[in-house]
Amino acid sequence: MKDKLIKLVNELKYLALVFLFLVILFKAVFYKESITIVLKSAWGLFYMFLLPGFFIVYYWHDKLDFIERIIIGFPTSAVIIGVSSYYLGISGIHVKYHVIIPLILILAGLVITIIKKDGGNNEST
Amino acid sequence: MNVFNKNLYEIIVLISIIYAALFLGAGNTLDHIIEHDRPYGYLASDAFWHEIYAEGIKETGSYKTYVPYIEGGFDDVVANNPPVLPHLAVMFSFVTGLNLFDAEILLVYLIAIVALLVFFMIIRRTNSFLAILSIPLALLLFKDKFSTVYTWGIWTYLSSTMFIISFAWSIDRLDMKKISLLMGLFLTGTIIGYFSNFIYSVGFIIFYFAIIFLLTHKLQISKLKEVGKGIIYAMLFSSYYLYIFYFTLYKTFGQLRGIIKASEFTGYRIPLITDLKWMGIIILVGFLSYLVFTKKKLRIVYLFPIFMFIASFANYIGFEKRALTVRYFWPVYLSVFFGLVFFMLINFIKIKQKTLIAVGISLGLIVSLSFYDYNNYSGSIMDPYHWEAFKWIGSNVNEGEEMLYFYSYALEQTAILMYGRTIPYIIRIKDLSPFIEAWAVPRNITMKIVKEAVAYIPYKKGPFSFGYHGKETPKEFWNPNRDICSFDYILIDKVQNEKVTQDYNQMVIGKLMESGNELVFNNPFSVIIKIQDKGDCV
Repeated sequence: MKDKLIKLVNELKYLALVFLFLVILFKAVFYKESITIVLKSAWGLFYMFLLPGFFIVYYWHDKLDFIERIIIGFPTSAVIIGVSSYYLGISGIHVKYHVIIPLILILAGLVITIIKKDGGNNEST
Repeated sequence: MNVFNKNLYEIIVLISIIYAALFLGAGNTLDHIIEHDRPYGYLASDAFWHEIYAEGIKETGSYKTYVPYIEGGFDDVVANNPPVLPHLAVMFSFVTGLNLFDAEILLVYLIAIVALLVFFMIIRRTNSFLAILSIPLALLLFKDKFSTVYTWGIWTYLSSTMFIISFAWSIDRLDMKKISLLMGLFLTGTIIGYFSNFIYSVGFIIFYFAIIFLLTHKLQISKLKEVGKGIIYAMLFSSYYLYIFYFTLYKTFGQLRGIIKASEFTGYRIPLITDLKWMGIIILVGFLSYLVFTKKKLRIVYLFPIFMFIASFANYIGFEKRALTVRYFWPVYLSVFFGLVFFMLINFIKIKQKTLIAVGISLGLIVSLSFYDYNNYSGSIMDPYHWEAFKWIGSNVNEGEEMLYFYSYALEQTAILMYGRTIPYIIRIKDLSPFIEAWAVPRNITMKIVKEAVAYIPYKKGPFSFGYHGKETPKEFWNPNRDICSFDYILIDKVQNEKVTQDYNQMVIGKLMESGNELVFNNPFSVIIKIQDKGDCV
């Protein structure tokens, strides 16, 4: 478990670099846009799709490398958030409160990672 | 292990393709600005409809029913358009603070880029050099007819395509523990994103396992069990939407249609094989090379694109636009055969620096395909003058007051009328023509209520019984003959593309103003007149 958490902490540094990359990418593409809007947009992408997806897919960290987990984390997060928001809305919880869903997913992913029992082989593909 | 050391050449190519894709797609269309003063990059009615569904969710807090003003005032219409994208857009808007129309179109482009990256991962599992040589072709997603999907609003198909490709990724990972859960989530995305992609997912499962069985005589029971679990999860996660879908979209439009050729379809700009141009020849060579030289032919990386290519011709068995829209992702699906040509060439020529050569070719392809057939698609059919008018209407026309839109060429994409947030009555040119000929102000005239009517405007009668306002209300309800003086406000465009209608509209404005009505809004393009005497305003 200690190795798993050390690996996770190391990868959080890469996550920070991913966020920095997003900011630079958005500014390079949307060069006419203000830095404030660029930062907000990059943060939205990061908070809604990349962070929750990363922590959920971390369950398979021994099978998938960092790049693959970041990429597949996006659709994972998108479908969970989209479906959850749909059902929560129908059950009467106003959509403006659904912004907390990504945070719940991040925490859930962390908990699952911590309680998951590792198999023997931790080698990434 | 340092991710950069191991994957540096991949990271270089990925950064390049992501930058190029975002620049050519969202950057190009949105004029390199994220936040606009009006819906920008929206070039057809369908794009506006998707944004309007999302606006309804933001307004009401849920997607139980549509907002009444998009359905002729009915407040019980069951929301049935696929819900994933509008919910993601609303949340993205809340989190970023962006206007919803900016958030949604940006999200659409990001989803396309993620879809191509997931496919990159599928190819990469076979060979990472093959992946970096293949993925540049995906830049065609933002060129010519393939780019129609963003600006014309074919968005539910697009969002679901990310999920079907992710599903294919999960099929290639059936050795992973609990992968059925991820598979179930991605299949849910196809169901709640665009149901046809779920049909194709199931079709691919049958195709894939049937081919493996035919060629190897092995029925992979354990893998089939995982797939079965995935389908069950998907059914559970999407159960409520499946119930809605059955009684709405399926019952009204779920049947197979007649055969239609791609070149005859008029709804969208459908890509043809000839639109692949010289790249199509390379793809064909790659496919032939796959048949002749590739040893591991049964890999998902080859079978999935083959299946989706076949599926894109299902218009010949009645799938109509549900098959034709698959073609928009040919640049992704067929990229593996494109890359295979360069991959085999590099392996054939015995050189030492294969990594450098592969990266060089990949980057060269990215640059050349970026500049190839470069076009600027920026703009919007929502001009700033009408946007200003709609914002005025939304803020000043009270509940219970009625708004009439006089005929205008600028309002022919009628979805934009929904931004007035009031039931839109519009006078059509065919009904106005006799009055133009007579040079008379129309009093009693047939008009049209603009509405969303994809599934005949369904409503719940009971738990398993739905009615359809679109079928049950008489035609006269949606095309009433009314006195223009019975409205509270009338919007008339002073500017038209033809002199006769422009002069006519200005005559009508003049007559209404002479009769004592109040000019409450005026900009260089449009006026809004408040009717003072509903009995006799002209």
